[in-house]
Amino acid sequence: MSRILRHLTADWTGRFAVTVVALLAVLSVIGSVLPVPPYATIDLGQSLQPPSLAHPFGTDILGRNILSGILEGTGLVVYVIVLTVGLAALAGVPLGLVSGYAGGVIDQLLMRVVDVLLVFPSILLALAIVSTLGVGLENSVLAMAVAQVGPFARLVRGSVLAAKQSLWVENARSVGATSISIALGHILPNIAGPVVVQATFATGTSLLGVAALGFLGLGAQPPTPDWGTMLYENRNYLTTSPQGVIFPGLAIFLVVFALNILGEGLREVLDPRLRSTLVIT
Amino acid sequence: MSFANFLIRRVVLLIPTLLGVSLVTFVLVRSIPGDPVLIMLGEHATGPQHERLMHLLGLDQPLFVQYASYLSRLLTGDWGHSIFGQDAVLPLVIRRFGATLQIVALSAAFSAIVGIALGTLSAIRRGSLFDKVVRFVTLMSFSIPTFWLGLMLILLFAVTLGWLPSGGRGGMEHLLLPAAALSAWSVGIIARVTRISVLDTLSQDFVVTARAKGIGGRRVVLRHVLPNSLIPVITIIGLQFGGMLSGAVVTETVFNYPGLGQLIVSNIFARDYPTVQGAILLGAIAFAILNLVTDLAYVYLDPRVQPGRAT
Repeated sequence: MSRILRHLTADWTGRFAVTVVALLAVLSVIGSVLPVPPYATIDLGQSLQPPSLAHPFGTDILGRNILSGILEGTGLVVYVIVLTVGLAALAGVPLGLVSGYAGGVIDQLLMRVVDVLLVFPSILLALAIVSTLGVGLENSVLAMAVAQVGPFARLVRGSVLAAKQSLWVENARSVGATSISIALGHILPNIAGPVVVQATFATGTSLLGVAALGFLGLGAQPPTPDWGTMLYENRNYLTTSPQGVIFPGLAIFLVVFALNILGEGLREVLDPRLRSTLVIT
Repeated sequence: MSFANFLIRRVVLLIPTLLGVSLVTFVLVRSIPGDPVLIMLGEHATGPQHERLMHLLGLDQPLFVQYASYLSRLLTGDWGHSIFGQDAVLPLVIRRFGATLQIVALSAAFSAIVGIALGTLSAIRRGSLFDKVVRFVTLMSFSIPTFWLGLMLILLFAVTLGWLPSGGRGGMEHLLLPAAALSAWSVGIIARVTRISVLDTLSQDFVVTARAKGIGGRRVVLRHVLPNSLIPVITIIGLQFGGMLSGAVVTETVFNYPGLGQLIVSNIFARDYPTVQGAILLGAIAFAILNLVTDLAYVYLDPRVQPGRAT
């Protein structure tokens, strides 16, 4: 663990990423008790104020403090990325494991289902799901989770197929280990690295997706301090007071950027398949 | 396996996928809560009026009957009518898709040129400051929300500088900002794949031979390295179309551009089943076909790839 952290913080981009993610984690816990006015406080006298000492990021049309919204929104960001990626992995990893390990008809059948999921560009699938289940944060989290099941299933299946050929699985089988114990006890721990890497990249993707749904008005509904929803609420005032669009978007960008840097760093440490290509890159 | 066999096999495999896609769109859109008939007629409609319209729209049939008739109508080109505008859905979604394709094509051309140039240069100058900056900028480009980038471009080029329109449909000037917003992501990916591929080619024997024969640096790169490096790049460009289609859905809303994505989003709010269904279906079909074409191009261009193993 400390080896991984040391590798991640070896250069300044890595240190930046670790700092942003740590800050996000801390703010998600204490963000709503910081000494700033609550985001819910409406003050029409302070409508659309540019950034100032009292409102470092300015105010929106209802006079709400945009900085407060961003701070309170950190909790939602953590909620979104943990839940989306958790759900996608919970469905995708067993799917890929069964498909890759069982092979044959089961594999064919499951992979056709995954093909159908993958043939939808992710936001299109998410839109289809949200249009069915209705708008809201929970539904957009669910939609992005479903949209990410395919990549997890594919990745795990591919890794399982490779692991199945290996000597140590052969060895386990020859000493009488059952299929389930091989799959869970031998194959799963060995493909954990690529799965963690995929999960890290998936956090950025799902945050972007949920933010996009929020921006379209299909995610969390106002007055939730969701960063995407804040963009949706403030985009009509872009020309006169752009602060309501600039800062929430910047927050999304910084977090996704940090998550992607972490993903790259983790890939270098954890993904054995990429160690060889690292030499040439 | 010959290329012709491979082609037939892949096209046949497309059929169950497309059936699955049609089933997914059908089930999803039909299970939307809310009553479209009630929305069309308004709250003051009488019971018989309601029943008559349900019957006219076929909404009183069992679901599997509705799906079977939906599928047979799809195949004969009858994609239904928009509930509100009464337009036929197929021509409507094709027209909107054409508009989307304009931004996507412009964006693809732009990101291919910029991405390949950046990737090649940073491979040649591997380890230099330029290489590091490109690596950093490409990682940034994966992380920018497309819709936010679009809004920032509007703020800079339309609001502040006044050079370009902030949205709508018209000539080339209406395409530039949406296409630029859409390109960020794919420029990054194409640059990265090009860089790795060029580095890979640079280490191959024939490049070393060409250098040993005294062929100059630029000529080696343009004549020997690039053509041999572009096969994976073509695949990535093909795969980017799907990502761009996704990005276009949101970008079109930002720029109020009448493409397929904007059609979907506005009709989700209006609960126009046939239109949303048709638009999502067309998007997924286009994506599936593009993936197929990309796979075929890859196998066709690279003699080292065995078609039988590529599936």
